[in-house]
Amino acid sequence: MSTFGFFCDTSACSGCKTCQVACKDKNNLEPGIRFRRVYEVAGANWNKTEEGAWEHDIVAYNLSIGCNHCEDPACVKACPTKAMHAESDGMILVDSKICIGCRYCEWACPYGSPQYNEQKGIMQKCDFCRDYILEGKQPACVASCPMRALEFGQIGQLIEKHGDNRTIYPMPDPITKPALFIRKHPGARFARKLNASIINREEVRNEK
Amino acid sequence: MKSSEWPLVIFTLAMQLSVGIMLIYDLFILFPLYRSRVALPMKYHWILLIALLAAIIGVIFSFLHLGNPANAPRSLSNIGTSWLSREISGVLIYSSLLLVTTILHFVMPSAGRSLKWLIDITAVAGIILIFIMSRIYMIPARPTWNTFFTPLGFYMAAIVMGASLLLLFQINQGSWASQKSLAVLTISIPVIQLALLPVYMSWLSQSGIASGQGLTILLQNHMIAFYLRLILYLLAIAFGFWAFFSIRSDTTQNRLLFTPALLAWAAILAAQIIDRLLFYAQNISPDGF
Ligand code: SF4
Ligand code: SF4
Ligand code: SF4
Repeated sequence: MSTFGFFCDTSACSGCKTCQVACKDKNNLEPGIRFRRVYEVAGANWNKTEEGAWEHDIVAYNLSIGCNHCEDPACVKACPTKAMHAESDGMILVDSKICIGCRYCEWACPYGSPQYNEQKGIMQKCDFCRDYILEGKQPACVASCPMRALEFGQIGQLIEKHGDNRTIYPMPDPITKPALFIRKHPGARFARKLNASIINREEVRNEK
Repeated sequence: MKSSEWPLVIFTLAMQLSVGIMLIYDLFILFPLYRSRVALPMKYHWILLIALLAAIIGVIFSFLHLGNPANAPRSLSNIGTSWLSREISGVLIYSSLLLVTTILHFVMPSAGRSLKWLIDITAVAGIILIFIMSRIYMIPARPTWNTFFTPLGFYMAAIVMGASLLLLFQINQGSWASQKSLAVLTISIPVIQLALLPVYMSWLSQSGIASGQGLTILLQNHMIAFYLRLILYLLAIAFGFWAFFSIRSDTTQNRLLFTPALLAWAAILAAQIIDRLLFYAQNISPDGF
């Protein structure tokens, strides 16, 4: 059972990707590997008004995701070696000494969080900046956000403060119970109608 | 398709070929011979060796898929929840049974008849293995794989590869009836695969954003492979019919069967390779995550 979680305020996130870069810097990640990814969601449509004029509807917002340290983690269930495992405090970590690099956790995670390191032949991912947390500091991504759109904390406190919403269009159904709490961008309720989708797929996916 | 998926293409196809050989051998060749109490031709032991060779190739390629094969023994640690752990156990059990069966048949050729139960068990282990293999892909995070088309495709691949190879193998020793039944399988499975294609594609087009991308991948990104597979299915059916009508009750004329059986087998193998490449090309996460 996860103890900690993230909060992402999609109504505040400007998509500057400082969190993504701070995470890469903190973890010294190679090109292509992103423990945190900022997904740009956008969609638009033209509508004909009663007067016969054309007007457009647009929706655009950003969603920053690391690993959600899910309460029912699909990656842990899938891993054949138990390298992907839950710590007693609920943090989901990869033991690189055990990992065989089969990439099955990558398939099983609905959020693209496990990141394969081709050079090392093993899986890596967000570890909640465990070392920082043990020192009483905030994770690098949270501390770096200029919009204060990210928060880290105890799950109970995050729910009390922000409510228990764990999804926003087009995230999949929260079947893994992600410890990610989201304040919805006001446009999100039109996103499905406007056929919005992630428009920076090439940027956020680890294609190796 | 990622280059890292090639070992998986070869691993899955080689294991399914091996299981297909065992299954078809057991049901369509051994069973009629046992029922009519006819002696087993010695050459049939080679069938086991071919199935074993396919399984060994599969096992080797399963290692090539791993980024860090040195830790491979640990992959049996999570049988409780991991289908991959179960698959690896299944591969070990199936391959060990096949190895023992093959060795016994070669060491004690005269005991062949009394060892049929071992072949039955190996074939059943193979059927279970293919089910486990398909379950690996049936996960919510991979919507295009999370469908009954996955196990169906795996079983059909095993049956058609096994049947077409054994038709070729049987040219000089098979009975008229078993040759005919293998030719029927060689024709009917590609017919079913062709008939299911529009059903699969309409399912893809209707089931959410990610599956919709699956259709785009098939029809745009891999259009040549998609149509090549169709042509190969049609060729396999045509060669299958040619083989069917070349089968004579007079076994001295069996050489007529060689060319169509060889062509049918080659077309089927090529179609299954492309089919599996397209399967892995549809490794799509939900909604782009
Ligand atoms: S987000 Fe993915 S990798 Fe992280 S715990 Fe959940 S299922 Fe596992
Ligand atoms: S890549 Fe490593 S962590 Fe992921 S499932 Fe395989 S062994 Fe487990
Ligand atoms: S918690 Fe640390 S490892 Fe995880 S996304 Fe933030 S910076 Fe990266």
